[in-house]
Amino acid sequence: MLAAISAGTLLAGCGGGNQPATSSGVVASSASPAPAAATGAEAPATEPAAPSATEPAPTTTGPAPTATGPAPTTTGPVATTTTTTAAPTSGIDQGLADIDRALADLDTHLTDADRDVATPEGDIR
Amino acid sequence: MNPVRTRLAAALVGAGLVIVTPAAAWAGPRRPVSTASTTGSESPADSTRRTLEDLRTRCLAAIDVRLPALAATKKALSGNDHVTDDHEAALAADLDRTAARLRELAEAIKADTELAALRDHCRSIFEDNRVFALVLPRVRLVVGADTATDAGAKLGDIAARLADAIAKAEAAGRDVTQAKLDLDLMKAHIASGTASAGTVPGAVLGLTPADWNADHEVLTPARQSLRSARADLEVARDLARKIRNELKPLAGSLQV
Repeated sequence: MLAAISAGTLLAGCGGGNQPATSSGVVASSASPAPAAATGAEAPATEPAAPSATEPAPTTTGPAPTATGPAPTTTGPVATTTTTTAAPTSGIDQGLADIDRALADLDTHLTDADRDVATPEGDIR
Repeated sequence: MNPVRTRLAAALVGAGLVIVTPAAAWAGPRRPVSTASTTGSESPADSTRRTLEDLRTRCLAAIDVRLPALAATKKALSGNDHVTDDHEAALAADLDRTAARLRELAEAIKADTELAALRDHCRSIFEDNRVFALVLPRVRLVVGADTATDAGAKLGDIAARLADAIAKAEAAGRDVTQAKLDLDLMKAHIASGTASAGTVPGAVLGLTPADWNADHEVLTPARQSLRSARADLEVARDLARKIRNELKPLAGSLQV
């Protein structure tokens, strides 16, 4: 699941102490201009300036800038994301899911059989 | 034609047949046959011919709704993952035989020139085949039974895993008294459900249209058995989930 979270979002949590996160989840540097507009139509010329010398080497981790996409921003230190591995799917959980499906199938067969027997269309009693 | 349309069409055809030949006892014991009255200036010969053509049309329509239903059921049967090979072969053979009989009847009905013969052939569509009353529900019951048997086997596997998890939890010092009781109950329900489902194929595979004609409730015991199996398996499934949740705090270490 964490893989689905954008790198920018992950970086928002470790990109610097009190830097505000933009709506797209990237961190706005204090030396940066205002975050990209929500429309994302910002031209490359408005991209944030280079980070200050005091800042760690920037790493571009956001999505590649496009004409219509959000402007990339510089970020703080490279985030090392520790993905929490989902608990391994146990055989029991998988088996129970199979049983759920089998019972649903069984319900369908029972319902259809009951309907056939109750209303044998054309096979008038 | 989708199932709903097929069934609606079948109902309309069935109703139409009853209207045209009210005395033709399609399913029950034979009743006296009354002929349609003639009207006005129409000659008896014209009336008979019209009655014959009306009946022929309706009887062919009755076959036309049954053949696709049989074909659709056979297709679904071949794609089912639960039905055993033996049961599939038996059911498919029954579907094929029924379809063949209906096709033969269609040819006979097209060739009929006598009302009495046509009525006999039309009656045969129902009395000698029982597509909707017996053939199709039998397929559903057997496939349902095999589905239940499959589910019972899977629940057995789950029970074995749970037993292992319980043993590990006990070895780790946990109180697993309730889990053990639940597991025993789960196993009992699996056995009961599997046994109930196991009776169904044998109870219905040998039934003939004549059996249904003699007793319209001939499928009822099998339906009840399958329902009982379903109830048992559901309880077993719920117990498995309960036990699993009881052991869950140790799930990571127990790898249940």
